[in-house]
Amino acid sequence: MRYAFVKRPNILSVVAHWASAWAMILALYLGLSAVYGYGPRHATFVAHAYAGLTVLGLVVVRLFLRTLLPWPKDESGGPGILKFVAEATHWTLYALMLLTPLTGWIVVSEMECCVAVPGLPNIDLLGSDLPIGGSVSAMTAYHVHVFFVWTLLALISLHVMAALFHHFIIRDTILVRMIPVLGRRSAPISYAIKTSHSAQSNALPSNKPGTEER
Amino acid sequence: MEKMAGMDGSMSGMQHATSHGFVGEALGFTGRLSAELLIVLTSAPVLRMLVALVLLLALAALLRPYLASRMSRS
Repeated sequence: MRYAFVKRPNILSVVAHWASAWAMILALYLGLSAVYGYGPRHATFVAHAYAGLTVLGLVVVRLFLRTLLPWPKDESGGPGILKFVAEATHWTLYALMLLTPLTGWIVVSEMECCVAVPGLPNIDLLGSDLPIGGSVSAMTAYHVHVFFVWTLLALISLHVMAALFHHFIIRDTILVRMIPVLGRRSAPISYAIKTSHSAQSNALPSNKPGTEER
Repeated sequence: MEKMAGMDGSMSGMQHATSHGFVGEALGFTGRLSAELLIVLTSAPVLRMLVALVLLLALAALLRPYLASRMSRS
């Protein structure tokens, strides 16, 4: 496999990607355990809520970094329809990573009588000066939360399978740029911009880090 | 938690609410889900959070050219 100068996203985005992946797996496991499992349900539910809030915080950080810093263009080949599906899947994943914890937070806020998460403010009180939107019941928010969870699970599976397909079948650098250990020859896109500015050319010297070929 | 487990039970029970065959059930479920999605996506907490997120991303977009010029200079 040849990795001729892999442009990867900045390291903060890569770390946030993997942190949110693990937080999501944890939240899914704890959520399913809280509803269907045996044992200390309330403690499991509180842990599920904190894992979900971590996902919410991380996706906000990821979107902020993605807007703030340069993002490498998709240089993999393949039909346009597949690229469109990949792009749509990514943005749907971002939306679900935002909306799933948010709907869970609404459920907890509307069920203050029965479910309490220490340190979690009531979502209705946040920004209550802004007179937009209607009210929503815990039941409605819970139904939508469950629908989002299963959709998220399906899209994560598709995302993982697509990454493995790119790595092992198409043999491109899509997975390598998100796993820096795999592609020691990769460099952040900011490095690529700097190098191209200084060299005034697309050709990069072979003795610089990130330019060797495997 | 029991209440939450009960809510989950009521969701799976929705599938038996209509008895007009598979298509009827599917349409009924899709219709209810679409209505619930619309209610949640236009609810005050979701809209307020989206407004906050849009403002944050607008700030990032404003900072982006400044950061790019600094990166190309260094």
